[in-house]
Amino acid sequence: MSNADRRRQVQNIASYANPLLPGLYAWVATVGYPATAPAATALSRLTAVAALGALIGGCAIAPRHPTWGRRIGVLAFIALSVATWLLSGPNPSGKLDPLSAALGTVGWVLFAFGWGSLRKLGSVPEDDPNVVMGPALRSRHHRAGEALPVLALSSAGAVLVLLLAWRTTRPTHALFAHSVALLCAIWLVSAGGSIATDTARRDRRSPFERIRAAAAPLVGLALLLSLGLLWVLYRA
Amino acid sequence: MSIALLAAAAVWFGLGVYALAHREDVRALFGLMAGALSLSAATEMRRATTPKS
Repeated sequence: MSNADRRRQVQNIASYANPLLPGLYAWVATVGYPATAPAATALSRLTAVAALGALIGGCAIAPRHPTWGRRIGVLAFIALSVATWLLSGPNPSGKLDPLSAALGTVGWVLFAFGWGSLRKLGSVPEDDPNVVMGPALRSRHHRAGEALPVLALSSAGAVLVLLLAWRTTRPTHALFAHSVALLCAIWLVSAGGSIATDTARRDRRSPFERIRAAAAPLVGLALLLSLGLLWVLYRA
Repeated sequence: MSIALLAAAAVWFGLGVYALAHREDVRALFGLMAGALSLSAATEMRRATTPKS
């Protein structure tokens, strides 16, 4: 066997292991564990084993048949895992302790990344036979100096909000707090990104026009702050 | 001003989630609403093109 063949074989094994190992971990942590509990039904155990088979089978055939590999290794595996959770009882998440659930979530995230593909090391995109040749595309705007600080500010705010959600001790409110915090964090990063990119553009509007464009939320904010002040004074 | 509103929105959201964690639901609602309005104002202000009428 030549060196090139050996290298190809190692690459095949690596591409096979990328989604398989995190998938196995996610399966053991979040599907296999509830399915092996004494209260689990026989049908849920069957779907759990079928999910494991779909994962291994999908990963095995993916290098030769990528479409079917993804259909079996991703769609069938997830569908059978969901079926296992549904069939294993009214509250399958209750069978997992928070640490196992969190580690299982990490496994599922790694599984999702494992199915992605990266550009091969040393390959040049322009060498692809399907590449459309033409003049290089240049950016229409230069990045403004304050773009990075704005993005850093919004990211720091998003992290702060996400961290504060962990202080919620009420179990019924904890999930809601995390959902709200995640929504706020996404919105903050998204708004920070758009503000950072917009700072580079030449704004044709005057400062008065810009404030007028934001009149509705600014008036709403002023009204809300006034109500808050009145509420504080009333309670004092 | 939009950057100040962005920072204010982050603070309001933080206060809202903090209040939610400390069983102060009214303050949490207030903080989240103020954060949403601040962030909305910040993005509307920085929008480079004039909105279509």
